Amino acid sequence: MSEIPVETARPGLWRKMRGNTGVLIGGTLLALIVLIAILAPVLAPHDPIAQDLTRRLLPPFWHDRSVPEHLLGTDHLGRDYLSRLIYGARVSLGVGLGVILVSGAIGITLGLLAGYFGGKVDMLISFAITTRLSLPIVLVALAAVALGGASLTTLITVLGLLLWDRFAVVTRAAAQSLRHQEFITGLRAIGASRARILFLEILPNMRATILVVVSLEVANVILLEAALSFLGLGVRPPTPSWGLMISEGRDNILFDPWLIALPGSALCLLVLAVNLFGDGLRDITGPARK
Amino acid sequence: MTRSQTPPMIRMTGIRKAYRLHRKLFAPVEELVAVNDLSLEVAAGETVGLVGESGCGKSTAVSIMLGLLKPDRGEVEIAGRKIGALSVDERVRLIQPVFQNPNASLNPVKRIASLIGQPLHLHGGENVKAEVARMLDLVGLPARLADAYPGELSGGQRQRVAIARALILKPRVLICDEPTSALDVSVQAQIINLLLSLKSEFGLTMVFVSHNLAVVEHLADRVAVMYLGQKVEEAPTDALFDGAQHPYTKALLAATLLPDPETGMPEQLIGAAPADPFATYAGCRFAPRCREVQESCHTTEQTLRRLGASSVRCTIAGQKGRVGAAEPKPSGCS
Repeated sequence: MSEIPVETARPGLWRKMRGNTGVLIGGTLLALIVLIAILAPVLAPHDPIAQDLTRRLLPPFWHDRSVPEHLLGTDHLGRDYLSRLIYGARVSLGVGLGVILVSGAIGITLGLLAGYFGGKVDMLISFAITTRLSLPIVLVALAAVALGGASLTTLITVLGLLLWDRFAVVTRAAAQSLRHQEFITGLRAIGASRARILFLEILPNMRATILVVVSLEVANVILLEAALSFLGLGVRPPTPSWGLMISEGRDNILFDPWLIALPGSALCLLVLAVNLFGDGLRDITGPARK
Repeated sequence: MTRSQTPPMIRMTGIRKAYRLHRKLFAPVEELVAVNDLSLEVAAGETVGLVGESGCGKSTAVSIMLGLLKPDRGEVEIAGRKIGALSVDERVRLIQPVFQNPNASLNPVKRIASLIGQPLHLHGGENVKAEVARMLDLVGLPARLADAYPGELSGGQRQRVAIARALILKPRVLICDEPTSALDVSVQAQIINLLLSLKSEFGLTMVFVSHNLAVVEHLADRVAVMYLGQKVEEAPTDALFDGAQHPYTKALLAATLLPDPETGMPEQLIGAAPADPFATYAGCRFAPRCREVQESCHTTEQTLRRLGASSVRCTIAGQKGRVGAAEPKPSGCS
């Protein structure tokens, strides 16, 4: 039987995604990492924080000295590196998601208000955006952590409160172009409330744009978390975070380089996946948007 | 015109609306008078055409009529009640708009069924699904389009959706803001015929805003012509098309294109300078472009006065040798 291409009336997002290599590769990788993070307790061969000082700094499987129980070796405290990597995915994705939820909520709300109402509201919010852009993120995060103590919650809160600017800028511009459309006047003529117009009518029109910003910001946040953890300001040991693992491995960089190469590659792969996915999404949703 | 004892469905008296604009950085704020001293009455069941060029204040007048814009001065009454005193729910059930551009008047991310049903949904209607199906049938759309998005429909179909959405609450007044100007000519006729049949079915009172005189002649019982925020002439449709009094109305009528390639371009009875809404005038606002302008026009303030069946804002109209019937009439525009 020959395959007859079925012409659907609605070449939806899903259909377009399958035709884009970037989205396909990025999406598959991302799905894989998310799956690994979710299934960490099942997949990890050892307890990620259990120390075994008799088996310190074992090399990964391709090395002569490797031990079959520790596929990717152990760190300076004898903890199984593969298990730590698997659990580390949870921290990276968790922080990424948590920060995006906080910053997205703040940025999208502010951007919608500024774009829709314009005038003084816009002036005020634009000023807030400019103020935020003039704050160096790492420095502010450093100060906040110094005051509040390093913890996952502090990290998510601080980054969430700092990274809303791109959401605000993008939604503001989109709201500005939408507010003069006739359907807004029509909605007012049928007595729709402002909140309904803003969040149920205008916001759904931006979902493609917001999705792209989310993907770009997630990559940004994951790298920031790694950087802050490396500096000792993010996740506290012994919780396995990829940034922290790089930081802990840097004493042994000359003799056991995989301690850095492995979490570094994982980080690189995740950010690459997110970026590929986001870039592809932008290509798909960008020009043909009606 | 007949005036019954019941209050008119729409009564606008002495409406004025000005926008304050910053045209240049550091320049003083300028006032743009969008609508000035506009009075309009529409009896129940009547269709009034509101005509004028771009920027003459038609759309501002529509927003004020819908209660979405507060006039600086003047009153709007719908069915004998001030529009400001109506609750949102009452207002919505009385008066509904149909807009010019069906591509922009429907939220592109909503399905047709939810777009049509939304007014009912928001105002506590029951049986939304059945009502939507009934409206789809009424405006001549197949039921299978209920799950489609606006982007998948043609312009004419979208305008039918917009009409169904406006009528689902069974309002008494329909304000059509150039409902056909964004459509193909062949589709325009269909939409107009649809509006006509729905008007009799729902007993609608209609205000039909347009710059297409042929459409207005076909639909309206009475026509009001606007120029730079003012009503310059108002007359029963036949009287207006048979013998326009105001020079601007004559120019508008003369500019109608005829469906006849032999006649060439119509003669222009209007000066080339575009209307400047920022300028202030001591006399007639149309004087700078008027072909029949006299000295006094630039200084005498013009007020509406009765002239035959019409009311005209022009002091020289109807004077000897200036009767509108002498002008060429577009005969083929209906």
